[in-house]
Amino acid sequence: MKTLKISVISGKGGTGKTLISSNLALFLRDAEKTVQLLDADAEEPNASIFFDIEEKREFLVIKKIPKVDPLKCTGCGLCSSNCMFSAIHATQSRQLVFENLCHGCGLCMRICPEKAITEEDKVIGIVRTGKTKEGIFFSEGELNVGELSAVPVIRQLKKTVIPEIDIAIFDAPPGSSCPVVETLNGTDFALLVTEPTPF
Amino acid sequence: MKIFIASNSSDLNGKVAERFARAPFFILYDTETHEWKAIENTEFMEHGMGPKIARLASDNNVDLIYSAPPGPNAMQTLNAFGIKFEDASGKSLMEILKKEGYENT
Repeated sequence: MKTLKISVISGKGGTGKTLISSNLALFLRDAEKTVQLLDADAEEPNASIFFDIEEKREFLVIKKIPKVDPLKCTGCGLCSSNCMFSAIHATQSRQLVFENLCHGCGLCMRICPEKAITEEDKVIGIVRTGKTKEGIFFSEGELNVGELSAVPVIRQLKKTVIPEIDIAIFDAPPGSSCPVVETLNGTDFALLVTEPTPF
Repeated sequence: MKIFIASNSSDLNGKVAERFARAPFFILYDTETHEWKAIENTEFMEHGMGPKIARLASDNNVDLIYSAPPGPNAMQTLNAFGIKFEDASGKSLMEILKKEGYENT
């Protein structure tokens, strides 16, 4: 049977996404389904505080950052004018790479006519997997402090979904920005958690 | 010398914009020929605007920028391109242009 993927989301924070998703996981486990809970709130993952997690494993999330060889760079500016994120600026005298602006697409490296650009690995976060004492498979992503986008971490987190699992529950980040969109992408069902506090 | 002013208006009667890279217009002024033109800021990105506009200034062979203080990324890029910056927060364009030798004809 195909895995049913459920994302638990909400427009604002503090509505109870983690409470709902962890209890839903426990309920489905009691209903004798195999369940995986994935904490995709990579900026502040906290579902793990409700569980004792065993069989822990860790995977680093890597972003590719360009590195310019100053001896080969002629300062033509082709990399800069083609970078969508304005993350690389090369002149004959100096080469600047803004790591936080870079999305790691590798375009600058490919178009450089002097082949002056190589890529370096930069660790931007971590994905942890394990199993709770109750028998729920568990994964979480955590973005390093200072990094701008949780999207690559969530993308890697989604790869930890066990193919044979009955139901995978994603505890999404709050809001409706890119990390939420990345969490929702590929899920079958979204559960919106609201609570009645007026703005 | 070519100067670049982050401006709120496309003519010379406005004031310096409150923000460097998100100014609606940039006035490009040549202190030798007294020619000027307004460049509309058509760029929009959530991040990385500072370096982008620094690049625009560099592409126009600008030597000096008048604007509100740019952010750290923009400042680094301006330094790399060897473009000078002068804080002109709250000033009118005319005030700056007269200082640079412009005569209102």
